[in-house]
Amino acid sequence: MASSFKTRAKLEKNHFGYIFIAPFFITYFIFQLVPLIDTFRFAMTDAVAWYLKPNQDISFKGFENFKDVLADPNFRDAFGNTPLMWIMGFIPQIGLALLLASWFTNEKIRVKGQGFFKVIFYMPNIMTATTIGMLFYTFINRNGFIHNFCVSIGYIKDPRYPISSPTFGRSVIAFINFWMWYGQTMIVLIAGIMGINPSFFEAASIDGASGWQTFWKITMPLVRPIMTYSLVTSLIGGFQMFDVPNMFATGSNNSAFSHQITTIVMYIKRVGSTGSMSVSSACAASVYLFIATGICSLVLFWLMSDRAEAKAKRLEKKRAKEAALLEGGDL
Amino acid sequence: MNKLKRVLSGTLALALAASMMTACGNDDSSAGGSNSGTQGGGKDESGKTVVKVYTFTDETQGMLDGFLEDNPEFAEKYTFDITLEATASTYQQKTMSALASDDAPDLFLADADYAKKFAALEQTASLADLGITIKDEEYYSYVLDFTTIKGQRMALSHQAAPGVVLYRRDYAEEVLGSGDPAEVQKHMDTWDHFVETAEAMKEKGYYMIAGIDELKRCFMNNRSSAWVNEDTMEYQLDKETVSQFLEVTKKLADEGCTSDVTPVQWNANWYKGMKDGVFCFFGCSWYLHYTIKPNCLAEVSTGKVDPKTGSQEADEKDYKEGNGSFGKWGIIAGPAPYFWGGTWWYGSKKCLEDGTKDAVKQVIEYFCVNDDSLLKVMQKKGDFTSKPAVNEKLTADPESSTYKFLAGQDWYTIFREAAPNIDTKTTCLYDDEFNTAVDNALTNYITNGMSLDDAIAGIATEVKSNLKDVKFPE
Repeated sequence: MASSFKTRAKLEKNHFGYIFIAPFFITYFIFQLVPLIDTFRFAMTDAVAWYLKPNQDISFKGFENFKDVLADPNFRDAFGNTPLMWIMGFIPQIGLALLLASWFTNEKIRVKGQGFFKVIFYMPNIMTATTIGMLFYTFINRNGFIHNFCVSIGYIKDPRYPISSPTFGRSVIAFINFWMWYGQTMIVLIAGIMGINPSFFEAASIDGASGWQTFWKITMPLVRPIMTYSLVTSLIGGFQMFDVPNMFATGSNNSAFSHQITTIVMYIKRVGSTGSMSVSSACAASVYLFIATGICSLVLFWLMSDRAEAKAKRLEKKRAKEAALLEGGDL
Repeated sequence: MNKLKRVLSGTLALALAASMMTACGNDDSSAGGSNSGTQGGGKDESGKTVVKVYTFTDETQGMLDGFLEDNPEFAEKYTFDITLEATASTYQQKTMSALASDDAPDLFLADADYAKKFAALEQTASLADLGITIKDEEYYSYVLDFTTIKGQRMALSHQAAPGVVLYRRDYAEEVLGSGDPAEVQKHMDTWDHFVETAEAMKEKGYYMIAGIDELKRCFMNNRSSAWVNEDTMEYQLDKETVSQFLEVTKKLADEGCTSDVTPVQWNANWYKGMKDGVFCFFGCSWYLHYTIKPNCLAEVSTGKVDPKTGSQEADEKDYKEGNGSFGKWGIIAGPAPYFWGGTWWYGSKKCLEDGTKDAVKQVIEYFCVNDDSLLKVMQKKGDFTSKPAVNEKLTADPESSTYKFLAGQDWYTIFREAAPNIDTKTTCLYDDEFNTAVDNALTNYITNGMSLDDAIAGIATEVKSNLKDVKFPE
């Protein structure tokens, strides 16, 4: 009797859980899932922005938009620029974040003023991307100190000319992304490392492992889930890169390398909200973005998952089953 | 205790959900910023009918205030609810989406870059719908042609904006031997002479123009056709003029006759050049009053200086000789006629239904149709009107700062001569997009080392992405 009462109480508690998480799912459904499905739907039509033609007849076009978008050299360039700039920024970002995180959590070093440094490193993330984009734009434009530096070392012969190297442009964008996000990644990694059982580190130090060995043999394998998380969220954010490069490429901020830093989302915005406002083509480009992000995330998950461990677990389960069978056999 | 917990958590969950719903519901009232919340045609607290106005310029507020003062009967019946959005792209999007909603503006304005686009909108009422009758011959044809869609006149402008060249008298005197407008015009009447003058300026250490986009509007207005044929929606390229534009600009840039080798309009070095070092600027009527006059000053007492670009707003008392390059400027027609901007007034289809039609009609007639009121408004502003007959009566006020800015030259004479030559055959719905593409072609050709043919072909490649209804040759 007592035990059945307990189960009932447990069930009801679960019920409350559902109510608590319901708001998220309702909002998700209305504001995310429905528009997501609509994106696929509109990509197959010839729809333009509703406010350009409020009473338009939308007709079905099949996969024509997908073909058009893929044939557009501007789209292909944007599709190349985006992951390139992300990778250029992410490698130093995760590297520095790991280094700082392992220093800050290292019991032997005991960095002083940790809180201060964490705040300083996190700071760029608090500012809006537009502000930072603007700041860096003033550095590299005609009157900025980077431009003046390039002139003084003779990289730019005539000061009237702008910096036009696409590699330079991409590096600036990559640097801004790196600088804005390494603090955030560092905090996440610190949390991951703090979650590792300290007795591992203790055992390692008793066994005489060097700092380098401890890092590679203990810290790295055990923060892998957190690494996967940072990698995948950063990848998604990277594919959707927009605000910073947009500050360098539009309006009165147009740079000589604008085309080489145009990202997929900038392309989507231009197609959907300027000129003939072809929302349907913008949707088709968005679907490509969705697919690319999905595939890359899955590949990353697969690469980062500990396949050896999973195999071992499966093996263990199998053995346990066999053992149970044997036990039953004995009885 | 357990029950209490359950009740509490249940209430909390409900409260959470409810707060979300209300958040959704309340959104409408907070959106719209300055709006009082009353729709166009509705009544405000004092029982006056609200006329909703969307505008891109802060001039409109002052103009409408003047209108109300002048029309006390109107002021008793109506009140204006003005929404101002100065960023061109945001204004277009905001106005277009408002027009398509129930809360549409009754009266709205447009700048030349998108005046045609607005005229072509489904929600725009034609002048005939509004009951406004005009005599075509009373206007410069470009003002009317610009916003004529399928033979219907859709909007009117109070302004005409003929393009001119503003130059430094002191530099001209030193380099060309005379600062007199008629003499300087002889050195600037063709592009060949223009380049020669630029080289002479260079020798004395002055830049001819600021950035590489300075000549754009002048060249683009003198193509043989628009970018897009309005009837067939085919892409048309006047390769000769576009090449000439790119080549002249590259020559000037290569020879060190431009202060910058980037497009600099509305940027820091553009405004800097107005103060010193640059010989001429391609401007127009409003540009004279609102752009170059305040920005030629070395110091302004208002403190209104844009931190990013250095663009400044001046007070009347700042306009005195010795402050920057004030008083050292002259005005001439330049190498070719062109126009730059204008302000068009539109009535929406909404105003036909919500009882503000007469109000909209009265406003447009006051500013754009009636000669007397137009003359009064524009004489005060020193601006140039869309009607030649009215412009004949406009006189330069010797007491005005613009008069002193131009060292006593009557700017109306130049405008009166330039305005009839303006042609709108080069304008199309998508000039906004093409202007950006031309800027990029310039950069590709001049700074990125692309060949002339590739740079020109790049214009079509670039706009192809966002102009889906235009047919490009395979």
